[in-house]
Amino acid sequence: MRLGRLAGLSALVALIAGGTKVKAGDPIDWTKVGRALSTWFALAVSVALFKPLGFVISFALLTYFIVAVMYRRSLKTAALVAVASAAGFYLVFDRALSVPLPVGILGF
Amino acid sequence: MEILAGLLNGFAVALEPANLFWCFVGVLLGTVVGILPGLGPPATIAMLLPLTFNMNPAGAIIMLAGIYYGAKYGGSTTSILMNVPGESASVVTCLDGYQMAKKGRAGPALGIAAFGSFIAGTFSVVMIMLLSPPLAAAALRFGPPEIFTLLLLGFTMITYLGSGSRLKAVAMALVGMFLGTIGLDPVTGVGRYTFDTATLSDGVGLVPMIMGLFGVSEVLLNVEAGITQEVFQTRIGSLLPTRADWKDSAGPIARGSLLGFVLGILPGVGAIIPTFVSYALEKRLSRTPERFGRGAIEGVAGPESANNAATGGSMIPLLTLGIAPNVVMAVLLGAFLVHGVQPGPLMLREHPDLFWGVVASMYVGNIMLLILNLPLIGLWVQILRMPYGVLFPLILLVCVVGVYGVSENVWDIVIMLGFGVAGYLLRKTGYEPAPLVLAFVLGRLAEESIRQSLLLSRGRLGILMERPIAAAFLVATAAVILLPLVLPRLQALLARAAAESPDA
Repeated sequence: MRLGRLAGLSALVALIAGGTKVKAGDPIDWTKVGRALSTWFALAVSVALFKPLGFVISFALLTYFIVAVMYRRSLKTAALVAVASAAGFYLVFDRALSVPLPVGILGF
Repeated sequence: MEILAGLLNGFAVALEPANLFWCFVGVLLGTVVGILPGLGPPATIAMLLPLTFNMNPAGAIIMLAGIYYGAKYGGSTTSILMNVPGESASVVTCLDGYQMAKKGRAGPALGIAAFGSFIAGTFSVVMIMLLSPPLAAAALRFGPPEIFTLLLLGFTMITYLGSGSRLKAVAMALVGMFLGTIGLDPVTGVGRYTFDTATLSDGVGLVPMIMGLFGVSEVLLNVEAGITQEVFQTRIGSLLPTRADWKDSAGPIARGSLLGFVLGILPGVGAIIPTFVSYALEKRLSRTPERFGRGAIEGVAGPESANNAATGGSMIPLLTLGIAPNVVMAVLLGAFLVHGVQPGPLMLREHPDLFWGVVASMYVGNIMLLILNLPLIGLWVQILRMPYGVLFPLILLVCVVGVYGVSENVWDIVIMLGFGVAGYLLRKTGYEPAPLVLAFVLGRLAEESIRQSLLLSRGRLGILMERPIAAAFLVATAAVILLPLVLPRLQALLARAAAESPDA
């Protein structure tokens, strides 16, 4: 227990010390950070949807979001990519390689 | 003789059709991953780990190792054609490689990178073969004090791992060490920071951590930039370097191979530092240093050889001591354990087929890579034009499947998400995740070995100084800490002395 606390505390000190050395020069581009964080949030939401929707559908939704919203492709392209990659994944991982995928109420 | 017999046995394993196929898959994937900026070997190997569960151990390790050394071949292609490192160890190659491409000499640059990689890669496999058996024999006599002091040396090297601030690297290493203490106490079995949850009582998983820090955060960094893909529009032309190119490159390739291999063995060094050292060395040795940065072929040949040799060198601590000297080896260590093999001094005796099979597969893999990277270069250039919008959801998908596949525990996906956003924010503020992961892995081993040492000595720390090998590691550790403090002053002192002496 003590060892963990020691490592945790000294990590905190060093992190703060390192943080004070961040150069003030580079302004943070909040649009960019927003893009990254909303992608992360979308991923988190799709993981949360595993239980009700299952892996295949929630990931098709994520793909659709990234391609259509983040990369501004047409909605048709996005839908196509989403369906194709989700279906491809299901076939390769679940059927061919029998890697377990999180299952939803619909059974896939 | 023993080595020869082992190697023949190894080739018998490596040339089995299934293993040959997995070797090919590994080096092919490695090349692709190396070429694509933004997806590195640690995340790829971690992602593919669950796919190997149904494979035999030899095939699995052969494939995963192939990804590692294959990525070093691919990385140079992106550096030369796009001026963006496809892989972190190819940063230096951008300097002269891209300049060569701009001058219409992309072909020879790609060619010498591939040949240099092949020569260095093969050299390092020969060295692994010659050095591993005696090292493993010596390591059999290592007890917990020797292991602990060696790990201590590794910890001090970690701070040189990053290219940025040393302090930040130390901070990351300490965070990693702290995360390593989560889980059950290795001696008493008391839960530490587990909050009485089952997921954390096994500790934080290495796979979710790596996928988050290297997979998810990498995608986030790329999404934010919305990369503008600019492939250098040029006829690549003949890939074969001219006779003059070879004459210029022979020395850098030889020195880069040796340097990369020796540095690669050291824990914490990784494959990036050897490339910088090699570049600086060639520039200093050159009679025309002003050509560097303007398309000198030596500046491609040296570093590209160094990173491939370092890749081979870093296999040695894993195969003979069971210690991971860098992040990729940490993942590979995980892969060995998943397949029920403990890498280390006993592996050579208990699983000779696996050891020699992997070594022999590296000869085969290097030949495959040479063939893949030279005639097929046009294909790889096409991959660089692939739309990233399609690629990123796929990477995220594989990360999630990979994490879930290892444990079938949804909470591990949540842990990965946490590390993903943390990795992104850390990198934005200049903290690199590699020291964290390495300290996480080494920290657990170090804790175990120091506590075993203290049990042996009944609580006396003196045991670390009394055993000669352990004491030698301690001296080396002190040297690593003190040298950077002393050296600049010594140099300044010498320079002043030289300036003051009248005849200098």
